[in-house]
Amino acid sequence: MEAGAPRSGIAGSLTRRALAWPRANPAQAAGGLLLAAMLALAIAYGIQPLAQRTINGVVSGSYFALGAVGLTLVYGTLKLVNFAHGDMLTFGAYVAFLFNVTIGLPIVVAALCAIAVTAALGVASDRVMWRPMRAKRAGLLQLLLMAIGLAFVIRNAIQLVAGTAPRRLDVDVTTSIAFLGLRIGRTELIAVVVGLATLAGVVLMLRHTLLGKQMRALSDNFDLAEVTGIDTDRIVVATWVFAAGLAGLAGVLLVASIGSMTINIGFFVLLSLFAAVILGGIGNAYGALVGGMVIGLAQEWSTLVLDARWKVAVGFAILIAVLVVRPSGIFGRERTL
Amino acid sequence: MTTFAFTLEAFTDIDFWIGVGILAGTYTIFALGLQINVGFTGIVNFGQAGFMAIGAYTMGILVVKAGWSFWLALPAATAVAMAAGLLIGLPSLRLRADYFAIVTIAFAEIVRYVAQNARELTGGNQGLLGYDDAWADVSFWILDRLDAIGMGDQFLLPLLLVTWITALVLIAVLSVVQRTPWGRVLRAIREDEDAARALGKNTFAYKLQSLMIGAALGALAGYFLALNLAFVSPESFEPLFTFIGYAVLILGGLASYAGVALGAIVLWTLLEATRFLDLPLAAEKVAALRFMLVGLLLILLMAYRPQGILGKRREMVLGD
Amino acid sequence: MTDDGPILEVAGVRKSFGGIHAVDGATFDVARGSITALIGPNGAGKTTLFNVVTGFLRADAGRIAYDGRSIFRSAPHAIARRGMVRTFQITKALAAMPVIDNMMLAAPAQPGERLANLIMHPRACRAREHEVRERALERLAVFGLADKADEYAGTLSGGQRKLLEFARALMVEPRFLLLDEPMAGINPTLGARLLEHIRELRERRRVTFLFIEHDLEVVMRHSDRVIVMAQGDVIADGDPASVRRDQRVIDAYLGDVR
Repeated sequence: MEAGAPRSGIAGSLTRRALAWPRANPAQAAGGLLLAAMLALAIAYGIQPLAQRTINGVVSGSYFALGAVGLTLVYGTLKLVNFAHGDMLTFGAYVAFLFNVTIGLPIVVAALCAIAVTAALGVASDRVMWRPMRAKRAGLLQLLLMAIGLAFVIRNAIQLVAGTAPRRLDVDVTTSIAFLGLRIGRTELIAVVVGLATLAGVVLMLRHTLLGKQMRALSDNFDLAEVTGIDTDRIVVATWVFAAGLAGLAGVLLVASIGSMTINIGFFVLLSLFAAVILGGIGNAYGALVGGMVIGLAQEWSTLVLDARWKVAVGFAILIAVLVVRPSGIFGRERTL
Repeated sequence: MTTFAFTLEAFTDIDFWIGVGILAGTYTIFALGLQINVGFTGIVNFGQAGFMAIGAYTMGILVVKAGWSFWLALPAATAVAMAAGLLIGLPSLRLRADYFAIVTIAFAEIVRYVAQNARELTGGNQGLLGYDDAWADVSFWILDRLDAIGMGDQFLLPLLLVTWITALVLIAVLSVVQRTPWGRVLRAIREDEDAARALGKNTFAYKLQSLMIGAALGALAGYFLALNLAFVSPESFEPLFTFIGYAVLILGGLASYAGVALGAIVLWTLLEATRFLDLPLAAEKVAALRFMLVGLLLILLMAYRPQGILGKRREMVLGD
Repeated sequence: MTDDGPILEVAGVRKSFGGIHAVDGATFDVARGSITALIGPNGAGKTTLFNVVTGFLRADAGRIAYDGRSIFRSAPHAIARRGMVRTFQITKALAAMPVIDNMMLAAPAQPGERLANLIMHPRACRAREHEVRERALERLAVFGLADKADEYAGTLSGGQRKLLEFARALMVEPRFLLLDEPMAGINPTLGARLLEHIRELRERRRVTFLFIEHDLEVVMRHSDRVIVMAQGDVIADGDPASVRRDQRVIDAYLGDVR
């Protein structure tokens, strides 16, 4: 009897190969799926609506990607599923509000402050909470619940200070640019450019700088990296600076695109970020980038088919689908023992 | 310097204690489900609020929209919640623990999302009401009996009694079942699933059963919540409540079902007592303070006393 | 169920992780009622092979048959139920459970393990539970662990845990026992007793044994057959004497076989 094959013969071996191909080439299979979806939607609903949704999808995809890259970097290096990551986005948005609206600085300065302060929050959370837990070799449930606890603390501390009324940043939300029958808000366009540029920078940093290589080494095998003399503590701090900083930026871009913020926006986005991270392969920064874009696009494209209020559910559905079909995601390796 | 007063008289107010008691009883039942999942099987169910929602909404919809009898709606809604547990568990229980946690929280959010958006069915954000007439009859009957001891005007007392009787019965049943061979397999799965499989146990089936029982308990808690509030709305089922359930669970310790009751009473007394702090803050900010405290509690417990009040350090397997 | 013929047939089994070929075309048979040793340098793929054969990992290719029936796609618990039980290299004594619970867990045919039975046949469940408890205590006594019955398994020493794992595996009433380094960490006296048990079980109940072992003395003196693995491949398969002299084996161990 052949190796576990349910069917035999030529038809059988062709079927087996057809089924095995996506498994062996997940990136191409996913790309193919995306292309097929685009084609189907274009045919069914017209190119212009699809193109408009695609633009919207790139906008949301860019801040999803920023958030997802941070989330995956923290997981990769520290094996921590940071449930508080969404609230770091919220934190960044509110810090930007503080500098932009309350103090009155220009949005660019406020955004930079938001990035810096959120990065500081990330590092602080590591020094105060995560590092002692690493030393104690805390287990999974402990870490998960602590992350949840931190999420509550951040979110409610913001509410304590800022209240529940929705806030807006001092940005231009009305001007939009039209071309080829499509429109994009001026602020949104800036947000996309900033987001994509930052992502490109992060990718280059990971690939070409020493720091980036060390971060990837740690992500691959923490203990081994320690033994080889890499200053793991420094790398951990750097990871948090990047992850939290990117989260802060993502929060600002998110609010700039949507227009208003409440204390829940971060958590609301968190599950889409998980979807992006897992779709791309957890621990893989490039995967998170791609994942974020795909989730953004998928959610916007779905508005062609479903009512807009179900948009977010699409992200969840993708999350569950990925976990059922291929938990290691597009770029992740299949589980080793 | 801000000053705040603390009215001690609040603690002699019987309405306060009845209110706390009902919440504590409801959360005991809720967290019993978490205990069987986390404490005794080792599966990290972050979606308990979702099962609560399915129970409460299904019951409400069956009674209000489909005209069912309340008493028939209860077991039917419980069956639906268990079916949901099965549906979620089948594809995801073989995933690693942190992925399973993410799936369950996503599931709970989807449920809440549907409740918010399927307005014709669930009333959307306005909520669902009018399902508790049958209960009102029972409640008044009990109140009549209570008249004999002069408590006939405590409107919520019957609910308190029924909630706690249910909770105590469940604690007793679960404790007995835990000492059976079936319970032993669950504990082995929590300890080391591979060891249990190597000894011939179909661990997947047991995990599924545990999840379904947890779902049923979540649904049950949902009914008491629905009767307490007299209406069901999506904001009662935010993930916050799952984690209040975890705070209850951890406080009482991961080792016993009775501990859950203790954890629930302690936590809800603390949470409700914050209402009596005369802080110069708006109500919404006091609420924020309360939930911040829940978060802090989770962090501190996990960092310093993960076994909770009643747990024994040895029994505890939170580390790998 | 055939009464002759090998109890286990492994043919062309391959398992890779990424680029690493942990098991690369392993082929061998295990004769019914034999005591077979699986040896090889570290990283040879022995534990991976165990994992594959007992269903904990899915092989990439090959054929695995137990008692003549393929178990290529079987789940580990189903394989254990059919009488093929394995122990683990790093003991999996369920530390936060009492020793006696560890033992009772392993007993087969417990109606009390199903909720339906607990509700409908409580007396049968209780009766079997008594039986199982007696049996467990007897077994523990044989291995000198009876006085530890109510202690948490986590309080046992490393060697005691190995014994517990062995005793527990025996509770399943296996026909084929795969032991991953059963003697590691056990003092020589206990180790000798363990080997006695193995021989006894083989004589009296025709239980087959396949064990991974690093102590070559033990291997040479107590096994009928030796299978040698290196770099995922089976490089020798025969009686101890001839394996000892096999050049490929000597090379694999860099001349350390005596």
